[in-house]
Amino acid sequence: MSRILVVDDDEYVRESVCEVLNLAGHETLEASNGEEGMTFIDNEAPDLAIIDIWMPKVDGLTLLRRVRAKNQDLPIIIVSGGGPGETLERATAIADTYSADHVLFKPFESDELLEMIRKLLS
Amino acid sequence: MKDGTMADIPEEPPECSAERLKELADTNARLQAKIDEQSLALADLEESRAQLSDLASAASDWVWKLDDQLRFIFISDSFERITGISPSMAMGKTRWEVAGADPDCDEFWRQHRDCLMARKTFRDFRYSFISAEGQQEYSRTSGVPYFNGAGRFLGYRGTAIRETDEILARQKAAQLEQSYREIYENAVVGIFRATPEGAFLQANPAMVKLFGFTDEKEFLEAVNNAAENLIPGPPLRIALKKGIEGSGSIEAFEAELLDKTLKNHIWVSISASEVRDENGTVKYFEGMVRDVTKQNKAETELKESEARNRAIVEALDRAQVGLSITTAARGILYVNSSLLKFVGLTDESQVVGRKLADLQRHGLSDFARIGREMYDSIAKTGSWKGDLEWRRADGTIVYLRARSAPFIDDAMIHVILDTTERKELEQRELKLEEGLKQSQKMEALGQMAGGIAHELNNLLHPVINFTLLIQDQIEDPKLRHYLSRVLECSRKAANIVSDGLTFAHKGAGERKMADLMELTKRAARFTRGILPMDIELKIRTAEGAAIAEVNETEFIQVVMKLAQNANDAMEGVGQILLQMDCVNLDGADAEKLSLEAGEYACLIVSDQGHGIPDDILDHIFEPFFTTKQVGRGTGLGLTVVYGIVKGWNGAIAVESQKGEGATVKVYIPMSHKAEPAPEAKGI
Repeated sequence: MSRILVVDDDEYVRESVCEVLNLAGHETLEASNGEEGMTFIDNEAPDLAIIDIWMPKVDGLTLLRRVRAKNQDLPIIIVSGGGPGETLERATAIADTYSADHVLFKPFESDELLEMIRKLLS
Repeated sequence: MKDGTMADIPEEPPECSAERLKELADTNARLQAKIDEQSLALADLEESRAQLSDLASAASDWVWKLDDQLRFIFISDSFERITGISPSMAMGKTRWEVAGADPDCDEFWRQHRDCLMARKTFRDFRYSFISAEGQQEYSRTSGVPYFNGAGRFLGYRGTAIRETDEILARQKAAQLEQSYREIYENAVVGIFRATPEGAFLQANPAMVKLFGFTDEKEFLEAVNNAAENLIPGPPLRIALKKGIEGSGSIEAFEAELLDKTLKNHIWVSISASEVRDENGTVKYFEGMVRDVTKQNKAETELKESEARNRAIVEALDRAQVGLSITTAARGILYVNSSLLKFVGLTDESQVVGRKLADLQRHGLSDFARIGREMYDSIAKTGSWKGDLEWRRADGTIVYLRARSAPFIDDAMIHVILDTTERKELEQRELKLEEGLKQSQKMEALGQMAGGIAHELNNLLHPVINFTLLIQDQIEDPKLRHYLSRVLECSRKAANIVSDGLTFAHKGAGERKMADLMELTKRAARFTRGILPMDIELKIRTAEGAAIAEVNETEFIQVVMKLAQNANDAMEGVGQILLQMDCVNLDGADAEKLSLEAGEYACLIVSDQGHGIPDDILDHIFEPFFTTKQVGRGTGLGLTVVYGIVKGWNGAIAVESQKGEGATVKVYIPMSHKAEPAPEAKGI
C-alpha cells in the first residue's frame, strides 16, 4: 500500500491511471499540472510520482527538475504521450539526463504500470 | 699706242732764194726724211690701228667713245657680239639715258655724271640697264677724257665689259647660300660639324634646342666639356668616332642621352660621315641628329604592349581560360590549349577551319542554333554569352560557358570557361537543397504528427485502460469478446499513431562518408541565407579533410539550427563564428562527453549574444525548453540537434557565461578509414 502522485493534465488519463492504481491497492493523489504536483510532493510526501511531460503551465520536465533539485530519492516515472518533436527515444534520453527512474509511452497498459511500480517500490 | 693721237704736222715752207734753195733743199731733204719718217709712222699707225681693231674685236670687252656732250658716238662691234644687243640702242644717248635713269633724281647716276663733268678718269664703274629685249644687263666700264691740241674737251674714250653672267651667277650662288642657310637654321633635325677628335664645332638651332639649350655657343661649350653623358658628351664622341672610322660614316646610330637638365632622357638617331680634304686627311665629321624619343617610346610601348598581350594570352591559358577566335565565313581561326583540353582534343587542326555547326557530333546543344544566336546577339548588342554542352570523344560531357565579342576586323573572340565542376556542384547543391526542404517538410510533419499523436494517445490511454478494467469485472463471454474487440481496435489505433510518429521522425536518410571541412563550407552557404544581413557569418576550417560518417542533410540542419540559435541569442546583430577542426580527445576529455577516446571532427558555433546562464545551461537540449518569448521559437531546435548528434554517436558541449556569448561544440567521430587529418589549428 503506497501513496502515488499522478500528474497529468488529461482528466481521463488521470482517472484511468488512478483507477488501475486504486484497484491494485494504492492510494493516489491527482494533480493536473506541474505546479499542483510540486505542492503535493512538498506537502504529502508521496512514495512515487507518475509525471506527464506535456502539460500547460509548469510542464513535466520542469517539475522533474524542481523535484530532483531537492529530492533525489523519490521514484519518478515519466510519461510521454507524444507531442511535437517527441519520440520514445528522446523521452528516454531526457529521462536519463534528468534522473527519472522510468519512462512510459502512452498508451501503456495496467500490467506494465503495476509491474514497474512494484519494482520501483520494492 | 696710248690714245691714238696724231703726230704733229709741220707748218707751210717760206719764200725761195739760192740760199734759200739750199736751205729749201736741206729743208726738203729734212722734210723728205720727215715724210719718210712720217710714212713709216703712218704705216706704224695703220698697223697699230689694225692691231687695235683686231684686239677690240677679239677682246671680251668693247670700246666706246662719247662726244663732248657725253653721248655715245662710237661703240665697237664686239659689243653686239658679246651682248647680242644692237649698239644703235645706245648711240646718241648718255649712259644714264641708256640705263633709263635720271641723274637729277638718282644719287648713283648723279655722282657718275659729276665725275664726267669734272672730266675725271673713272675706273670699274658698274651699272645695269635693261636691254631692248627686257633683259637686265650688267656692265663694268672704265674711261678717260680726251682733248684736242688746244686742250679742248672732246669727249671720253674707254672700254667696257659685260658682267651679266657673272653677277647673275653670283646672285644665284647667294640665293643658294641663303636657302642652305635657311635650311640649316630652320631644319627640324639637328645638324652638326665636329672635329675628327669629336669636338663639336657647329650646331644648328634644332640641335641646340634638342638638348634644351638656346644658344649655340653655350651648347658647344657644354657638349665639348661635358663629363656626363649629357647631350652628345664623351661616350657619344667615342662611339661616333669609332663608328665613323670604321666605315667612313654611321647611319641611324641610336643613343640615349640627357638634356641640359640632366634629367630628361632623349633618344637620338645620328647619321654622320667624315669629310676629307684633297690630301685624303679627315677634316671633320658632319652629321644629323634626329629626336627619336617619341618614336622609341612608341616602339617601346608597342613592344611592351605586344609582350603584355602575349603574356595575357599565356596567362589565360595557364588560368585555364579557353580562348578562340572565329569569323562567320572562315569558322574557327584559333583555339588555345586550355580550350582544346576542355573539349578533349589534342591538336588544333581538329577544329581550326571548321564552323561550330561542323562539330555537331560533339554537341548536346544545337550548335548551329547557338552559332546563329551568337552572331545575332553580337550584331545587335555587341556581345553574347551562353552555355554549350560538349561531348568528348570518350563520352564525358563538359559544360562550357562562353562570352563573345567582336574582335579585329570581322573576327569574334570567345572567352570560354569549363563550368562542368560548377554545374555538378550546382546540381549537388540543388539536390541538397531539395533534401533540406524535404527534411524541413518532414520535420513539420513530425511536429504535426507529434501533436496529433499526443491528443490521440491521451484518448486511447483511458479507452484501453478502462476497457481492461471492465473486462476484469465481466464474465459474460459475449461481452468479454466485445471488449476484446474494443481493446484490439484501440491497440491497433495506438500502433498506427506510433508508426506514424516513427515515420515522421525518421532521419532524412542514410549516412555516408563525407568530408566535414567541405560540408561545413557548403552548410555555411545555406546558413548565410537564413541569417539577417547584420549578422556576419565567419567561416574557419582547418586544412585537409575531416572524414566522418554522417547524413549530409542532417549535418547542414545541425549547422543551420545552431546558427539560428546563435542569431536569436544576438537578436540579429553580431558575428557568428562557424569553425570545423579535428581534435584528439584523450580519456578524461572523452569521458566528460560520454565518448570514447579518439579523433573527432569538432564543429564549433560561437555567438556574441547574451550567453546562457549556468542554471539553464543543463536544460537547453530538453524539448520545449526555451528562453525565447512566446511565438519566437518552439524550443525544439537544440533538441533536434541533440537527437541528430546522438544518432552519429557524437556529443554536444556548450560553454557559456552570461553576457559573453555562447559556444556550442559538436563532436563527431572521425572515420578511421579516412586519411590522417592534419593537426587542428586555432582552438
